[in-house]
Amino acid sequence: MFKGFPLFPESASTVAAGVDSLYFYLVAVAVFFSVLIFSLIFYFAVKYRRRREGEIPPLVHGNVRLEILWSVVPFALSMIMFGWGAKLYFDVSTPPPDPLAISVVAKQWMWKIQHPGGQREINELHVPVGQPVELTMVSEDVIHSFYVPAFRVKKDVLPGRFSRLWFEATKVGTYHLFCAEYCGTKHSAMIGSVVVLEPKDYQDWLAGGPPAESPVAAGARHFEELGCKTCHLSGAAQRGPSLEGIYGKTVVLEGGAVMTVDDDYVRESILTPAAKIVASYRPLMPTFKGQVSEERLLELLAYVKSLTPVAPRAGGRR
Amino acid sequence: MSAVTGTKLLPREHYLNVNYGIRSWLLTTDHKRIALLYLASITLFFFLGGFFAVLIRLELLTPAGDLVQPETYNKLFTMHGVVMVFFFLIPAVPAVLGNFLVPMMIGARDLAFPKLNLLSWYVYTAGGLFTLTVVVTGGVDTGWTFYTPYSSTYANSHVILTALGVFITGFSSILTGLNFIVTIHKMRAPGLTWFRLPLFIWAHYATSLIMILGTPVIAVTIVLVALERLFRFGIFDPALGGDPLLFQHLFWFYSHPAVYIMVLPSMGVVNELPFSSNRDTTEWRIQPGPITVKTAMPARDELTSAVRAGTGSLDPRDDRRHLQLSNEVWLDGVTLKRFLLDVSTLTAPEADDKLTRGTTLTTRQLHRDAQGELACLLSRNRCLGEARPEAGGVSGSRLLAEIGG
Repeated sequence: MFKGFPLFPESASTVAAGVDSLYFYLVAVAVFFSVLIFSLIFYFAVKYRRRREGEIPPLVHGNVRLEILWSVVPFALSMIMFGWGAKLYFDVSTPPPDPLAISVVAKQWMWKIQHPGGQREINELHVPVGQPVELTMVSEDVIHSFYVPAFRVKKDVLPGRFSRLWFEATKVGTYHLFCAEYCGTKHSAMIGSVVVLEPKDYQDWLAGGPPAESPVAAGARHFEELGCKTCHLSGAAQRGPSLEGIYGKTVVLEGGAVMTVDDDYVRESILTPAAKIVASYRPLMPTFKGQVSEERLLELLAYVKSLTPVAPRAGGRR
Repeated sequence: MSAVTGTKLLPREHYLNVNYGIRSWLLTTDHKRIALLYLASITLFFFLGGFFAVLIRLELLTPAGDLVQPETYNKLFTMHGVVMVFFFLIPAVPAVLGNFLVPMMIGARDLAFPKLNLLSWYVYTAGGLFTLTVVVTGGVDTGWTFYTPYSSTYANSHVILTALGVFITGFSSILTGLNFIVTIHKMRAPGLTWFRLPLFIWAHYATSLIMILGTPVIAVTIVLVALERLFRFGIFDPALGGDPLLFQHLFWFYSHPAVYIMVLPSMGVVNELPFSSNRDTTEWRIQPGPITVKTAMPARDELTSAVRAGTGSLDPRDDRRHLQLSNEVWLDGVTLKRFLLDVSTLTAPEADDKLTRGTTLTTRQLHRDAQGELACLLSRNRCLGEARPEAGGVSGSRLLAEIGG
């Protein structure tokens, strides 16, 4: 109807319809009460205008039933907003099992993306249609925000910790990708596109580029080069906890605290090793801060994950 | 304004003509003169902020950056935000109308601390000068929210100078809030109990609470940003061992309640409108809704901003905020409906029992004083009079006599 002049953004993900219904509910409530209140204001202003000088209108003492009515009805309406919103929030933030794991590194002013097979791209994200995709995102500098309006998803991308976002595209096409958190001079140019392909086309696209090293393989290489192996995977004599099968498990820390080994814990243990020492080990490990880029950190993480046969979902702090 | 009954010419001597000259204005401790000083300086900042907004809109006429470069554009919206939020929206109603009307509406001669009141204007002006310096020397580009680590590490503009301006201006808010709270507690006319207070006073009381609870938090936060920027203390930048979300928690602890610093006084103003037709004020006693709402808002607000700590999305401007939005909609809705009720019952009852008459006389009298005073200001030749010794309040004993009689 309004070709070339979209009144509403395209919807192309499984959660879009749910987000839109809640949005329309909010708009409907707001419009209804705005119209009601403004009509009544004008109506009363005319009806109860002063008709002669010194007029003494009747005494009104209020009306308890009215008071209750117009407190309870809005309360109920806003509790619907709350309940509905909370449910939607949890749905949108819980990914389905076995999503396609893609990593995103944001920096001033670009999006760097890596696929599970190691294929990299910048400011473009190719994904298959009808398959859940989970992004593990981190920033190299300031706070950015990954925003795809057509999918109705947005998530801040922070420096120093992982944030996650999932979506399942429902329609083949090319969609806008924006940075939605002001991040400096070229914030407005930190844009890209998400290209949704048929699964077969996605496979072709993956195979089309130059041969890539998978993150796990690259992580294993870093693991070797940085000497992690000496202390963490060398058998009985090693000085640090073995990383085999550790991801997603709980460990007991020095002092008795219990910690689940998740992405953020692995990350912290590489950059700030002394922060959370597993009980019965000593704080011997040097920091790797400044030596490992965000991309290599993600690859190391992929490798550590691969050491646990079927990695259970651990996720990060959300 | 012929509706204002009992008006006559201004007394021979009043706050505008009691003396003249720059000195008499710059050293005044009269709450009405200070209100006018605020009016002038806030108007100045309003036009400055508006000027930035005009440039933003002009640039947006075309998609290309042809009027200003991206750097300048970012500075424009930042300066627009900083000036409008901290130098216009926050002080606009309390510092002008509040300063002018609060003492009169509760029957006091002035605020509890007149010198502190003057100091608050000087503090505001000092903060404003810092901001003007930033404008002249090249601007700041962090957005008015100063999000870290962009503001503390990456921005190449006058963050520290702006932060100092905001920090200093915060103290003028604190002083005003403190003054209102003490005045409303200690200087109400005899017989003017809490539930007989006009809603304008309640609104300013609630606002003052937020001012003295929230402002220190943003003051400290903004100093921490400056410290991290200057001395590389690791507070907010993860590269230094800090936490960028910590800034957002602290910032919104003030800035979210600050929207109530902006809106509550305005609601107070709106609540006063129906009184011009002599509405029975005792009704508030049996329908304490608006009072509860006004005082609940700051409390609820400080709580929710604390509760939101720990979730990913702190920014109330974020579109995922519907959880919090729901209770806001409800409270604001209740307040709106109070307004509707006000409009629907523009009535003036003749008092029938002694208590009601007493209250009506007290608050209505005070209201007329305040409105008359504004009318004086607007028309320069009208005033309510009723043999008052000087502009600035009704004597308590006369009110008592009226109530008792």
